[in-house]
Amino acid sequence: MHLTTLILAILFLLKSPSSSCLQAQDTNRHLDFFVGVDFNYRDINYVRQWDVLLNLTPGFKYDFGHNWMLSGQAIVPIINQYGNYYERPRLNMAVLSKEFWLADIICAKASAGWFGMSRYGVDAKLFAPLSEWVAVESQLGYTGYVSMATGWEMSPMDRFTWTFGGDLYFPEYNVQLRGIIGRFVYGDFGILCEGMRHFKHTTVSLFGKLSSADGLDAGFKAAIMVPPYHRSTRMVRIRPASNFRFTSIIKYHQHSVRMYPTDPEENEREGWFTRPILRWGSHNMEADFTTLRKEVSE
Amino acid sequence: MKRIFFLFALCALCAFASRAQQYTGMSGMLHIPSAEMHDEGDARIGAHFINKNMMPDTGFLYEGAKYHSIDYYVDITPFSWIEMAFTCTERKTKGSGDFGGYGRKDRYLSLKIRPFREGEYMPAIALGWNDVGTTIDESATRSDVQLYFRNYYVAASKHFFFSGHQFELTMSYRHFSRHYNSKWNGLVGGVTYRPAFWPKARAIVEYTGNDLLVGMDILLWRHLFLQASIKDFQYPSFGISYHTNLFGKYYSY
Repeated sequence: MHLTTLILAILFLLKSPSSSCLQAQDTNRHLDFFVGVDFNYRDINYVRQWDVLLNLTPGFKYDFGHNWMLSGQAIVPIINQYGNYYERPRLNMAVLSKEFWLADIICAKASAGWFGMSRYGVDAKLFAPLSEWVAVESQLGYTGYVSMATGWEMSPMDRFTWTFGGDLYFPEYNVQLRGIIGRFVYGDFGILCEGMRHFKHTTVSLFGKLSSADGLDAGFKAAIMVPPYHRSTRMVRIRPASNFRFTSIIKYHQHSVRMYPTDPEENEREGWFTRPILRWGSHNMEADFTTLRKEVSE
Repeated sequence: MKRIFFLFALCALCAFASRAQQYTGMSGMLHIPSAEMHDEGDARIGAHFINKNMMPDTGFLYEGAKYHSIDYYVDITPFSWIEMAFTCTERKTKGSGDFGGYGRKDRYLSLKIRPFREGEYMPAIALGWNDVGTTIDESATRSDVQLYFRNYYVAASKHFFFSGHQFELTMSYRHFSRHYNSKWNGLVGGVTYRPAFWPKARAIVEYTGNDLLVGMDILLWRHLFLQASIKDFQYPSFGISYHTNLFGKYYSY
C-alpha cells in the first residue's frame, strides 16, 4: 500500500514540464472518440478451421492539458467462437495518466485506474534516452484482477510486476532492437527480445521470449497505423482507432511474458509516450498523423 | 516507330515488378527458388491452390490417396538482402464421429538471404531455407512433425535485356530433407520472359528436377498479384495475393 501512496503522491506533485514543445502541447486540449477492431484467432481443434473472436473497441481519450490524459475503452463482441467468457460487452480500460520528465533525464508516465488485460492499479513507465540510439527502460506495476466478463470480479491489489531493459535504435534504417527481463502480468519471470523495423505507417517485428512458466516461444507482430492520417483541430474529434495490431505466436503461449496496456491505443510503433514529450526512436520519423490547421485569410 | 518504342520504354519504366515462388509466398519462380528478391519493404499476403501432383508424397494422404490443398501466407522483405515468409498449408484429417476433411495445418517459416547482388556480368546469388521451424496442431503428437516442405538451396539468377524484353535465367541447387521429396533434389532451373510491351506479366518455364512446369504471373493495379502454372500440361495450380510496399514506393526495374 505504501508503494501505491508513493506513486500517487508523485503523480500529483509533478512540476510543469520544462520543454517548450510541451508548453505548446498544453494549449491543444481535445477529446477524441474512436473505434477500433480487436481481431483474435486460434487454431486448437480440427473441427473448425479457426476459432475467431472479433470485438469492436470503442473508446475515448481526453487530453486536458499539461500532459494529463483520461482514457477509456469498452469491448463489444461481434463474433465469438472462444466461449462464454468473451460473450458480454464490457469495460476494458479507464485510466488517468500523466507524462513528465524527471530531472530532464528520465521520461516517465504514471497511470492509475483500470488497465487492459483485466488489471487495475497503478503503473509507472520510465524511459531514459542515453543517446540518439541507446535508451534504458523500465515498467513498474502494482495491480489486481478486475473483470466484468462474468459479472463483477475483483481481487486485491497484490501483484508487483516489473520489467527492465534496453533499446537500440539505428536511425539510418529505422531499426529498433529491444530486450527486457522482468516479472510479467501472469506472475511468470521471463525475457523478451524483439527486433523491429519501422516503415511508413507500419512497424513489423520479430520476437522471441523465454518464460519461467511456458518456456521458449517466438513470433512476429505488425502494427499498422490506420488512416486518415490528417486530423482536424476541433476540440471533439471522431475517428478510427489509430492503429491495428497483429500478432502471431508459434506455440500459442499467449499468457507468457505479457504486460497490460495502460493506453487504449498502445502499440509497438509509438511506444509508451506521445511524440511531443519524447523525441526518440520512431518519434524522429515523419509523423503518421498530422493536424490540419485552417489557414486564416486576411 | 520511335513513338511506339518510346511508349514501350515508358511502360517498362512505370512497371511494378513482382515475382514469386507463390506456393511458399517467397520470391522465385513457380516451384523452384531463384536469387531474385522482392524490393525492400515489400509485403504480401495471399493464398495458393496446390495441385495434389505437386504435394509431397507422404504426409498429405487422406484415406490412402493424395489430395489437393490450399496454403496461405504472409511474406515480407524488411531489407533488400533478406526475405521471410510464414506459410500455412491445409491438411485433411479424420476426426471423431463423422468428421473428416480439411482442418489441420502444416505451418512453416521460410528464409532467404542474398549476399551478392546481380552485377553487370555476375549473377545474383541467394541462399535459402524453407520450413525453418515447423509447428503442429495442439492435437498432434511429436510423430506428426514431418518437415514436409523443408529444403535448403543456393540459387543464381541473371537478367538479360533485348530491345526492352527481359529474360531471367536461374539455376539452383536444392536439397529436401525428406526422402519422399528427393525427386525435387539436385540441380533445377528455369527461364522467365517479361515482354517489353506488357512488363507487368511474366512467362515462366522451369524444370523442378522431376517435372516440367509452365506458368505465368501478373501484377494488376499495383497490388493484385496472380500466378497460374501447369505441370506436364495436365495438372494446374494457381494463386492470388495482395502485394504492397511498406515504404509506399513502387520501384521500376
